[in-house]
Amino acid sequence: MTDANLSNLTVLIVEDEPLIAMSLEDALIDQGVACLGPAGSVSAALEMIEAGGFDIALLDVNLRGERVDAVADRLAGAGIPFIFTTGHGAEGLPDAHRTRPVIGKPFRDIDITDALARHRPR
Amino acid sequence: MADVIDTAAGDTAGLDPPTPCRVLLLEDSGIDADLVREHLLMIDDHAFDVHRVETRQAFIEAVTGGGPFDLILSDFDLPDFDGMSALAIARDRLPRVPFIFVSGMLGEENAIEALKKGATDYVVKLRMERLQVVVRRALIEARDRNELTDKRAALAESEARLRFALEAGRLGSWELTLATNRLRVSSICAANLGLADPAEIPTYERLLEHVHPDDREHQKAMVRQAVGSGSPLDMEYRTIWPDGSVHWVQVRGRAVYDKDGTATGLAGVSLNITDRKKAEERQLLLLEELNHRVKNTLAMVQSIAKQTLRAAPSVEAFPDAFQSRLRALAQAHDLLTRRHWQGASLSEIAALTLEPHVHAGRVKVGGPPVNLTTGVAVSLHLAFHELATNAAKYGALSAENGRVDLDWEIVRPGQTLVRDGMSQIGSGQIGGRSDRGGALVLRWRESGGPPVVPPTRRGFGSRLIERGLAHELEGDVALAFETAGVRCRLVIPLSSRVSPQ
Repeated sequence: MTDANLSNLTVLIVEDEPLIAMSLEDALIDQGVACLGPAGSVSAALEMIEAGGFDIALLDVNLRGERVDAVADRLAGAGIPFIFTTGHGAEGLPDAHRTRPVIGKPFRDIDITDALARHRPR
Repeated sequence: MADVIDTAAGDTAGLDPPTPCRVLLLEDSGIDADLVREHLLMIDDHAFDVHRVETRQAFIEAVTGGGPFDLILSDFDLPDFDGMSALAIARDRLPRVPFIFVSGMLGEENAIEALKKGATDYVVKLRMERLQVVVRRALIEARDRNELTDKRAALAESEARLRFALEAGRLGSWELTLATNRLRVSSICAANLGLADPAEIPTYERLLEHVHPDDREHQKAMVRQAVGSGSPLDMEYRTIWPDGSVHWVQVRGRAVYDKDGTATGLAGVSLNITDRKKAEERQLLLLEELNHRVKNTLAMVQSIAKQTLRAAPSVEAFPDAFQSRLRALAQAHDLLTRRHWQGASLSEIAALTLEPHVHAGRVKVGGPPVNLTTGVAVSLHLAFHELATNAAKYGALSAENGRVDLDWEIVRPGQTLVRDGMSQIGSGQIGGRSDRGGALVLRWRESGGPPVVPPTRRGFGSRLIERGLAHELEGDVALAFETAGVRCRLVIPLSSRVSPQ
């Protein structure tokens, strides 16, 4: 069953662990959500933001040991909403983006789809 | 009345008989010696035990070995010796023992000279009655002086012990006078602030200059509280050394009060706890890292479960496939833990995957040394695990004569790939980014197995290799289900994550 709140939505997945990225893709595609990525590094994520074509991003806070502050800054600057995914607590978030929504790993598919429906641009 | 008598007797017995005062008497005349003894007997609160010597030799022996003595009485003129020499020897050997000349004649000059050289006093034989007064006074003064010297020595020794303990414990000591804000610190205390000279922090204000700005207010508040409430001071603060480096100091202290109960100062110890703080920070980081790793691993396990379930032909087939993948993940973690999570070599990963299948020489593994970071090592291991499991179930390792070759090489920029019959799949040359720094080219080739039937739908393994691995390694992945055997080729650009040794 496709959630009406997820229709016509394209999500950029920023995640360095391929298994988790694949699982996210499965969950989103099942709901009729289109996926871009996954971007597994800060530089790849910045390139994909540059290229555009998505409505909202799922952003892992740490990519191969690198913090994603720069990616979050770029998304915020472009006015694109994003949701953090993290195995750390909230203290691992970039300082400038502590008020952004966060989903802790491991997560349920419904946590992801609910958050996307709630935070997608209207 | 027996009680009374007993009590009286008891009182007398209770007074300890005075310990005899040991006297060394240098006197060649027996008559004069007796005269001295008589006068000593008249001193009623002391008993005397006189050791008389008549010659130089006997005097030296007595002074060097015969003691201890409480008093030396000496004639001034002797047949083979003179009083001044005896005095010099006595001052050298027994500096604490009073030395009194008892002489028939002693001119004023001699007397002054004798006192200058350390004689305690002198008595002329014509006025021998003075001996009692002089001896009593000399003994009392000597006792007082010696007690003071002993106390000073004990104090110095105790201070030395305390200093040794402070130094051994790397403890600095400090003392603050509240009225003036004057600070006195030991050299270790100064060293804890990176300063060579304690004089650099003569006041509390100067000390504060060396405290990290973020910790200054807290420092002041704690000191105020210790002074105001009388509670012990125990705090940690950061200090910035003159070279700019940040260190941690712990101070413990307590307020000092005058007799009216007013706090006049604060005194205590300081300790450099930078090493402990660093260890605590490492500990916190490790815990945080462990938490992150556990959560990430749980998320991976969840992913494996979901995707295994999606691809499983039946619910019955799920447990075996899932457990086998979980085991592969656990093996990778074991290997990485043995390598302290500093990565692994490609041959270690290959051996780990193929070990169960290396029997009868049916698996051949080879290639130059290549280092992998932990993430790459886990992904490659999971990918090899899928290939090996598939080979064992349906491919080359399911047949008696089938074999698998896993080899790899480093291809430098400009170098063309060795023909491997897979040029039709993917790019025949190393493309894009990978070309600049060279690439690792890795091949999996199966042969001798039953004819391969390409799967109608991509399973978890194919997806993991074609999507996951390509994504993780930012490389080209080609997986071909050829009739003669499954082939897989990975072209991975060299980077800090995949690097030749």
